Amino acid sequence: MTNANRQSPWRTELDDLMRGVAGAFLFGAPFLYTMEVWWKGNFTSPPRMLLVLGIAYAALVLLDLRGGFRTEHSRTWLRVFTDSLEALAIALLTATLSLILIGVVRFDTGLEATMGRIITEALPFSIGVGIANNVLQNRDENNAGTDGSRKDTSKHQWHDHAWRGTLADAGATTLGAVIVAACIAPTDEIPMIASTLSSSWLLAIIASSLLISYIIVFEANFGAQTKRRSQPGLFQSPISETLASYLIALLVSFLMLSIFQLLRAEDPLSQWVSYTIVLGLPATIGGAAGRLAL
Amino acid sequence: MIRKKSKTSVTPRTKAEWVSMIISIVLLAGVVGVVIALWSSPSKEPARFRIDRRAIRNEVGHYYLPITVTNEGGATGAQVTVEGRLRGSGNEQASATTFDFIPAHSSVEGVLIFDTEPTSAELRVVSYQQP
Repeated sequence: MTNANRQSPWRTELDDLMRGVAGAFLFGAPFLYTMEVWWKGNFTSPPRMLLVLGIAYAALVLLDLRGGFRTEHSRTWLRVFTDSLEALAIALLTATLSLILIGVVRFDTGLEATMGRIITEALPFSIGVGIANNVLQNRDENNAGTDGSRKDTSKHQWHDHAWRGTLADAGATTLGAVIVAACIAPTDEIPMIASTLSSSWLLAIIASSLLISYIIVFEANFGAQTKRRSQPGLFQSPISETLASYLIALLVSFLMLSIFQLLRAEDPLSQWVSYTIVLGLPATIGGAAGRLAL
Repeated sequence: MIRKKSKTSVTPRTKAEWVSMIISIVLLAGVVGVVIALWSSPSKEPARFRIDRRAIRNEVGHYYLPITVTNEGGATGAQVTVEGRLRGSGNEQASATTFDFIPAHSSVEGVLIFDTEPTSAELRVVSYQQP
């Protein structure tokens, strides 16, 4: 909290917003890959949409009392209310972008269905934003806790050997990626999403996977710690960690898809590539969550 | 005049916080506005489908007829089944496909396959479910 006061207010704000985005994806990713959630949006009436928005807002207000997405806790009711509005906006924005990314919201989708899908999907994303602070605590704060000594040593490794730190996290990444990818791999969503995407969209998914993973890694390790972040050498660490964890996520996705026979030896290469990339998105988010859980 | 605030009191909103709050409120107002607009112009009309044909392509003895089905009504149709019938020389050919969901004012694409040139095929939606 004191750190936050020292850094530029724009950076603090960006940090806070990114923490919200990270939380949204951590909690929302499994819901994003559930077609029933999109389908519910197809026949959600406008009054029900408003109800869902109201429920999301009420949940955010309650969550903001104990968590929220800002480092600095909202101290007045007015702040709680406005912060929750912002949280809801973050949820809607991330839900919209990710639905566009996986091709569920397109130009030929009717307005009512588009709004229905976005708002339904925004509900789990909202909860993610609301618990962002609880999940994405700075390691500094953790150090004050009971298991502080272990975190301390891993932090020193960060300083000296960025790659060693990354490799140390590889196990956690694999575990997290397996947990998420195993749940999603056997479902119909993967072929369904992959079949609608062109190769340029696949590139967009790769870029987004990296970006989301980077945001999560960044907010977890470096949130509100400008000092460390502004050092050029250490700035590299989150990037290498992101790349390494994405590669692990792709590998795990590929294995899971093979295990569940969505990918077989006789399938074309394009299918291997597209399925793996599509599953790679939630897997890399799971991997990031895995590192946070450790 | 103004009492000095104690340490636990509110720190004023920074410029950055104002900006993100205003953007958020604008976005939310937009979303709520669109939903209310949808609500205030309720289309009680049921699902209604239009089928458009696109260019036929010939693939080793079969004719692929791509179609676009647009729901022009105000309600979502589920399990929308489109059937194409082709009355040729003596025998009749039928081809059908089913779409999981066609929301109001949305369109989906599919292909019907025939053995003979299907330009004169009769296309219609034979059934759908109300979700």
